[in-house]
Amino acid sequence: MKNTSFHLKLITRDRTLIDGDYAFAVIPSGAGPLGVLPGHTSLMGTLNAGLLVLRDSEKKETPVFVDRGFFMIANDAITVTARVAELAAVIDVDRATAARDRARQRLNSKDSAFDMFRARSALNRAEARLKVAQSMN
Amino acid sequence: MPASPRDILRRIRGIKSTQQITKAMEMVSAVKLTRVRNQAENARGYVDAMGRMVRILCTTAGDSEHELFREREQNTILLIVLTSDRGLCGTFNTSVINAVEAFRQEHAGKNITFMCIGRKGAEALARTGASIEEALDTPWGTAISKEVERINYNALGAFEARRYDAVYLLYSRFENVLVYKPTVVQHLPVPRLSAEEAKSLAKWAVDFLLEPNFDALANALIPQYLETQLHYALVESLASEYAARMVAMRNANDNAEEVIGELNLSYNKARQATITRDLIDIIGGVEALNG
Repeated sequence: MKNTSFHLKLITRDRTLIDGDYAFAVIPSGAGPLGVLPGHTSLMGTLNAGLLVLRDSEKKETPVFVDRGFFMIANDAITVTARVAELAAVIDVDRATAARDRARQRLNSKDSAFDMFRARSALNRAEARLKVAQSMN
Repeated sequence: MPASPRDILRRIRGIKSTQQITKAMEMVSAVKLTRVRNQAENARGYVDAMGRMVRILCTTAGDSEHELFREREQNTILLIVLTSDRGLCGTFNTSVINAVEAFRQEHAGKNITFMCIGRKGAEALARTGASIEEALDTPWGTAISKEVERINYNALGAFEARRYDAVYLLYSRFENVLVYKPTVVQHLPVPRLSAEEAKSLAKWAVDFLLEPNFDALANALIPQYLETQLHYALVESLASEYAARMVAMRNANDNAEEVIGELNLSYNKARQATITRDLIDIIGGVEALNG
């Protein structure tokens, strides 16, 4: 019989944030969003800063912001390790907005004192966070 | 001459004030231990998961092997030693230093350079004339991540530049409050799988798709894994240190209790002796008057 769900574990350095069965997931992989259904082929890859969506058998969705991580799919078990993982419900929108504006300002300024690579990744991070937060509303 | 009651009282007071310090230190260590112990337990799941990914990646490598997996003849070695900054923690530091000696004997004839995290290790190694590349105090709190990142980055750079053929970690692994074991882990090159491990993983690790490709994934994953491993070692070492200090202070406390008990006894005896002596004097005087 074909499985109707897979097990997903989201681990950060401080805790296991998610450990449960889901029917569908969208993983923000390095090569773009990746939809995963049960029975997916074995795969390992990098994560982009972005939105991880988990849908359980009752179609209830859990959006999570993840950054700096990796994922592995094997035998209907998915392991996601991330340095940063926040449930959308706890994202601090004000802080993310401030971070986005600051990063934009730095990118626009011609001052080379700022590390452009860092500013750009900060901008990506902040935008991804805000997108996740907005997906809740 | 037996000590006067007043001298004994003074000693009791002295020991009591020492006991207050050891009691406070025990409590502080207990609180800090709970904190780092949680951190260590959580980090263990993370480091295990990352380790599994790295090992699977290693099985998929086939012929194209990554530089960080490749063994070289180990002539120059960097040993990262984790000890505490402060003493009063029983045999914690001594056992690590003993393990360093064992490591040196095992790798006799090799050129070993040390990096010390924790002042006690640096002091002990400096006395033996070891070549120390860097010595720093144990980071704490938010400084941990930053320091770990920097140390890992430097170690990777030195390994890739072939300044070292191998990097090892030596830290105390926390087992429980009474047991901690100095443990040596090969940090770089990333240890290959044993034949058994490879076999058990190969059963389901065949046909793994890698995204974007082996090299890119390895270049991203392995440094992160190593950083995680270093972070984990540091937290474990801290947990062991606080456990050791807590136990040492509890023992000191118990000993103080015992000494105070004995001193109380001698104080009472000495006090009784003076009373008896005074009574004999008085009675003697009265007898003499009556006589």
